[in-house]
Amino acid sequence: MRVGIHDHATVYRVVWAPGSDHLLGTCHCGAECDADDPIQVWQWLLAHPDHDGEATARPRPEQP
Amino acid sequence: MSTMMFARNQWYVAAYAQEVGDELLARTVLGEPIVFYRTAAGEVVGLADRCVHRRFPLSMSRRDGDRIVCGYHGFTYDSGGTCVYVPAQTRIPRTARVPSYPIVEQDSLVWVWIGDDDRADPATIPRAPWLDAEGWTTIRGVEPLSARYGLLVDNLLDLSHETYLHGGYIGTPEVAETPITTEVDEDAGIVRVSRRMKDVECPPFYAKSTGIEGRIDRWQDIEYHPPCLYILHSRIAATGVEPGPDNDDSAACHAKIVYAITPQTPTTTLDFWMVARDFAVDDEDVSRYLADSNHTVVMQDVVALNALESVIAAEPEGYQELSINIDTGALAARRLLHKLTTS
Repeated sequence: MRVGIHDHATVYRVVWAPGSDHLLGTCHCGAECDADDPIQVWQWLLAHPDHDGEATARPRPEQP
Repeated sequence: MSTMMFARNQWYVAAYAQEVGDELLARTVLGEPIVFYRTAAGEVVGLADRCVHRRFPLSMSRRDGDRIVCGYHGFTYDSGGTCVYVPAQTRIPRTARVPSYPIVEQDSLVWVWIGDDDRADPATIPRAPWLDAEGWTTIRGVEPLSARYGLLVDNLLDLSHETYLHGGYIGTPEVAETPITTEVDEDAGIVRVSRRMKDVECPPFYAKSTGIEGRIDRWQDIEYHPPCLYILHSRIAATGVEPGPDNDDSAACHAKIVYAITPQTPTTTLDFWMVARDFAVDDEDVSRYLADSNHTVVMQDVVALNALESVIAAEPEGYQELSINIDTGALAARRLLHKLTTS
C-alpha cells in the first residue's frame, strides 16, 4: 500500500505494530489512539470528532 | 450474522466479455434474472429474463437477429426491451416491454447497473486495466457459491487464512504472522489492506510460475471497491530487490489477483476470479499451471464458505463472533457495505 500518500483525503489508518499486538489508529484529523482490538479502534476512529472512549487517545500536537 | 441486504444503485460484474456472444446467457444479479447477448453491432444487451406475457424465461428462447422471440408464445422484443410483435393480433399492448439494464463493457468485464437507471454513471465503475492490457496475460474462471457474498468479502480481506486453508499453494507461515496496515478512504469508499513480507518463503504458486529461486520479498496490497471489485496487487521479488528510484520495478514480478463478487440471491454468489501477470506472459505452461492452481485455491474457498453458510443457517440468532487484529480490514469492509445497503 502506498502508505502516506492519502494524507489529504478522509482516510482512517490502522497500523498493526510489528512485534506487538497493538493497533495504532490514526484519524484524518491527526488524532491517534492505541487499541487492543479492531472493534475498539474502529469505534474510536469513527467517533470523529468526538475521540473519546476506551482507547487511549494521543492527539497530535498542534501544528504551528 | 443475519442475511445480508443487497446494495442497490451499484454496478456489478455480470459476466466476462468473452461469455457474451450470440447465445442467450442467463444470470441472476441481486435477485434479478437477466438475459444477456451481443447484438450484430457488438453491443452487449441486458434485458429482464421474463416475458411480460406469462414470465417465460427469454434466455430459454431464441434470437431473430437482434431480437428475442419468446419460446412460449412468440412475443418478440427488440434490444431495448420493447415488444415489437405479439401473436395473432396487430395491436401491441402499451405495457408490452421488458426492462433493459444499463450495461458497460470495460476491462474485459460486463458490468450491469442494478438500481434506478437515471443514477447509473459509468464513470463510477472501478477500473482493472491489467485484465485487458498489452504486456499482461490473464487467466480466469467463475464459480457459483452457495454462500452469502459477505462471506467472500470477509475471506478476501483477511489473507491470513492462506496459511491454513491454502497451504502448499499460496499460503506460507509468514502470511499469517505478518502484521497488516489498513486504510479506509471514506471519500472514495475504498478499503486498503497491506501486508509487506521480507525475506520469506516463496509459495509454490509463485516459485513455479516466476522461476524465482530462494527466498523472496512478497507484497500483498489489497484494494477493495465495495460492493463488487477486489484487487490484490501482488509483488514478488528476490529478497532485497527494491523498486528503483524512478519507480522502475521491472526486476520484480507482479500479479493482479482480481475478484468480482456478485450477489445472486441473499445466500448465493457468483465468484469471478482472475489472475493477471506481467511475467512469463507468453508461456502457456505457466498459464495452465496458474489456472489449475488458482482454481484449486478458489475451490478450497468455495468448500469453506459453503460450509460456513450452512453453519450460519443452522445457528440461533445472536451468535457473537470474535474479531482479532487480522480482521481489521474485513471489519472496515463490512462497515462500508453496510453503508451502501442502508443508503
